[in-house]
Amino acid sequence: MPRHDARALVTVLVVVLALSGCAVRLVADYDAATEDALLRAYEKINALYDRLAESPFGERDYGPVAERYGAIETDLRVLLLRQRGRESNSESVGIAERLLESWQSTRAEHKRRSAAGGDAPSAYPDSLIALDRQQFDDHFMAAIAAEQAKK
Amino acid sequence: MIDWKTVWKDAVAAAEAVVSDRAPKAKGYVKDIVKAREKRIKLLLIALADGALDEATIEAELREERAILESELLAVRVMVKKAAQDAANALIGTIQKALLDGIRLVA
Repeated sequence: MPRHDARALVTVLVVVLALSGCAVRLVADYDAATEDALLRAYEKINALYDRLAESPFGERDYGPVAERYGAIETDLRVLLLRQRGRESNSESVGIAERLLESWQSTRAEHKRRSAAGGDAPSAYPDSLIALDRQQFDDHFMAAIAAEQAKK
Repeated sequence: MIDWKTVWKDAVAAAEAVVSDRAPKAKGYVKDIVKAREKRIKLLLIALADGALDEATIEAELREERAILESELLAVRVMVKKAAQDAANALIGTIQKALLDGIRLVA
């Protein structure tokens, strides 16, 4: 092989080798376990809201469902921890943080309304159940959309 | 021998194909976000009219609206970044393949 051809071959090989280490990575890989965890948490939240919506108006206090709130909060904390452990995953961390905060805030609000009692007909009126359900639909849609976008 | 003009043209086309594939999905999701925000604002107005919201709850629900929108925009950011990632890797991959094919012609 002529010298100039050999030199050209070596140059191209070096460039190919350099490029092979150059894969761009801006987002984390898709994680099926995250999507499963999101769907399971969403299922539990909907079950809680179904239970509240089916309960008589004056029987929607925080006390009887406190344990359910706690279990869901644990699931969301574990989900957040999982997101934090993944590289290039800042957006899903942000979404999981907001989801957890939203849950904690909604939980605190239900507790507050239950404790307030007084003339309030219900600790959780139907229109507020609908509003809060929608809020979690939207949070979970964002979380699922972000995860599926990584495929 | 490697024709760099053709290789570059192919590489750009590969990157553009990725973006064309992903852009409609991102656009579709942004439209869904707008609809979802509208739906929730309507529910908020119903709850207000119902007297279901005291002042503290109204403030909490408005803060919630902001948090939801932030999450939705974070999801859009993932879509955009993934499109950029795949486009860049398609471009690099096309060039890499062309180089290897060029090597096979030379060797």
